[in-house]
Amino acid sequence: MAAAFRALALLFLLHQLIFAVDTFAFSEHPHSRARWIASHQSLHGERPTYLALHLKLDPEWHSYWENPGDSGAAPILEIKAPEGVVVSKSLYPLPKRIEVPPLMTFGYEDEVMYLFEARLDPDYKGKETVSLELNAEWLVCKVECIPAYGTFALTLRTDGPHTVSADEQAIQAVRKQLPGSAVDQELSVQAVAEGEKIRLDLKSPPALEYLDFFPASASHLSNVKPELLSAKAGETSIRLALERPPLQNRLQGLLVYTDGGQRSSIALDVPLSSPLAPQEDFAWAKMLAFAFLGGFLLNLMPCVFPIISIKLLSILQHAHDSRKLLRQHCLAYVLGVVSSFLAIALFLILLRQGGEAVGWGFQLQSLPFLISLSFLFMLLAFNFLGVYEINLPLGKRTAGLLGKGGAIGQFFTGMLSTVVASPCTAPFMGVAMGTAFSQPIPLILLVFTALGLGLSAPYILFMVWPGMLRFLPKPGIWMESLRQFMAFPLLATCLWLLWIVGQVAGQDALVLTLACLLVSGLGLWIKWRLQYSRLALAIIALALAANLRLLSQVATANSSSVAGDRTKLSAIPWETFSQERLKAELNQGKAVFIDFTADWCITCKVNERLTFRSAAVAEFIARHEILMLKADWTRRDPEITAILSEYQRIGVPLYLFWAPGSGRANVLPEVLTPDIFMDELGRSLKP
Amino acid sequence: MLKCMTMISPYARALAFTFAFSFSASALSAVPSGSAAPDFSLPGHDGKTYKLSDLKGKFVVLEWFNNDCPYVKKHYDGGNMQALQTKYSAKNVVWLTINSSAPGKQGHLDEKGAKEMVATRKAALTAMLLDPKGEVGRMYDAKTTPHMYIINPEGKLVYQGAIDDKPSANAKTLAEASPIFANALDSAIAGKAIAEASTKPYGCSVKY
Repeated sequence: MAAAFRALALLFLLHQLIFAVDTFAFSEHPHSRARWIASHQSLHGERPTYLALHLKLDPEWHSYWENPGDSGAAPILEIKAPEGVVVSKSLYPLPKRIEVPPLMTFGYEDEVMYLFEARLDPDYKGKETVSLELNAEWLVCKVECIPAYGTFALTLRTDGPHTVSADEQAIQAVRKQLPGSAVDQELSVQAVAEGEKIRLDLKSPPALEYLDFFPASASHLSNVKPELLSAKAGETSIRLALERPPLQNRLQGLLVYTDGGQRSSIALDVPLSSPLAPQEDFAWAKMLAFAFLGGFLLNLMPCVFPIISIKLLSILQHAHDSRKLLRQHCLAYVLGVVSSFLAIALFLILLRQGGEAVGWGFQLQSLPFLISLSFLFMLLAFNFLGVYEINLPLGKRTAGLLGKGGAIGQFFTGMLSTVVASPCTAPFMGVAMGTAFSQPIPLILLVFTALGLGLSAPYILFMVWPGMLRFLPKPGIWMESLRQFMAFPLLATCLWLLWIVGQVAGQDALVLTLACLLVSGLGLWIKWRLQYSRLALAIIALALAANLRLLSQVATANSSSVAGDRTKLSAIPWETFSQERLKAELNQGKAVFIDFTADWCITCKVNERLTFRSAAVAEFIARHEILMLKADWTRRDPEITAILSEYQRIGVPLYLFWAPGSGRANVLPEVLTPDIFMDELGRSLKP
Repeated sequence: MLKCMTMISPYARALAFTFAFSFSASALSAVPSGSAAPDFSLPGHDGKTYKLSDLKGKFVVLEWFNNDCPYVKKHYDGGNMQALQTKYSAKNVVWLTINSSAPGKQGHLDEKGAKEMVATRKAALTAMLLDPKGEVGRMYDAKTTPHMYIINPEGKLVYQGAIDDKPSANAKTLAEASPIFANALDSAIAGKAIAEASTKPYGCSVKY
């Protein structure tokens, strides 16, 4: 009995061997022939081996793409691979439209290869040869349709050299028809919902000529050829119709183009943004109300509060006698704040229209801006402490400005407040600004106006009800004490800016900046004690200039080494983000989380402290084998900016998570706690 | 500082939230789910004429049919479609199977052919309707066989799309398929909301 069983087993093995060799020939099916082939004779740990279901179709018969269109069916391909062999989802070469009026389908004629990418696990410990089985169902249609079924097996070695097979060239040729990525082709895409249609605005290098768009099944879009709205070199707009509701919040599909010769495609997967529909009046009002509230809260920021409160007190103190004057000055100040907010908005809009990839907070990526600001904050703090007096309309002893020409002075004070407020506004406002910038221009301007009004709300209050002055304590010595005390929040802001300088440009740059601050302090003392104003001014200007000059050298020398170290700080095994890395990991079906962060982003830092240092989160990440990537935007990085804008952000934080095998990222809220983090990821991880 | 940040964050989130628009349900197929089902009148396999507007007060199922389509075969060969027809006929649902294959095209049936088809398939339907010009098929934008529609007693189209979630011609997939159409009809009869009123149908193209 046992012997018989052994003989049977041997026979089976022999059969398997013969079968394996045989598979490279085509098997016959109704109106198609099929085989299961590989690009190499072995699997490798790093280099991919491509597997292909190769179909040859009878003339006029076709098989289907991932989205078959109005009728037909995508092939159902199930691969059985032993443990330690990682096989991707099926990769579809570029299909073509096959019209069966009144229906539209997408598929392949003559010949097609459905591809898979296979690799060995790095710590593969299985057999020397493995069998990869394919269980396939594919539909072939002319007018009528016939399903075909086949079971195939392919034997590959798991050791030895990664030798190509006889089919390698044919497979590589098909690989060239796989869709490319938007980033590689420098394509920027915006998808905007317009009622029941979607407008797709494409910006590309001028050499790319738009041909067509094929929607993915998940998009719920009509399969008919999109309406071409406008096409000039490098800029194309098309309109897509919805096939069945509801409209999905992402647009997925293949953009088909030619760059002169070859027909190629780009896989698009972009979020859908919405212009404001007329019925969204309420949303407008709400958005503006929030912007106003946000602007008001900015008054409490450590870099804003000292300046604004001291300024307000000084105006009030001098305006006790004349309510008319008080009103005038408050109004001038409000106008100054609002107009500078509008100027910033216009500046950003213009930059973005010009294709510049900037976000709110971008100014904190600029070293000269950081250093100038830290100088400014130090000077202001010294001023508050009484080390010196300047004739900037910031101190309480600037009574003269409230006389003739005072209103203009107030206007500029308003502008100055906006500028000095920016290191505090940027980190908090980034997310909201990002959302605002996906809106039409008039609304962006309105949002910024509301922000400005919010920031100057205390002034507006006194402007409207000067009688409120009564409730303030009488001016006196306490104001001097308050002013001196307010120097400390300013110095704290300065400290924070210097920390960013250190993070952006390294320790040498930080020490250099501190040294220059020291020299400037000396300059102030010379002015205050020795009354040599010009000399003092010259010393400060020289210090600043020397600092910036020297820094440009130090910074470039240091930049690479700093970036290298920063991922190693926490218990979570962070790795550095790159688009290429992301793509590779996703193709292997890994779970991937990306933290888009920057040192000047306080929300990011708080999230990192609360969430990513938590032991429970670290354990959760290890248990689910999530690859954690960190995308650091402290310095400008076009690759990161590109992916941020893909998710319609103009700033950080942004948290993205891909569950294994899911093509779409789950966008997490921008405020994280360990619970939110684990809930969100847990939900995506469930099948 | 942290306090300020927690004050601002809800603001930022709420602001972001206000941008998240919800789209009002609006279909672009010929007859959007939720709108009135267009009236039609077609001859049946039994020689009678069936007019949709006469059937108000009852649930009506429309099923597009082509006997030679492998996907239709999957549902008829194993008795899956007949089981559905039997189950819902017992619940007073009118089941209209529509053949829109043009003369000379695959699956075309005349009255005699349809009568034989109902007998050989042991179909438990109310009637098999003949639409050789494809007028009703185009009216409803029927794309595939099978393509399922549900019309409620008020005459509104409440579901259109797939019969289940396994776009395969393999009968083995029936066991593990999620019966989207039957679930929709159960919900509609129970007076509950239908999870997805419009899904992507699968199958062969209707042979207009």
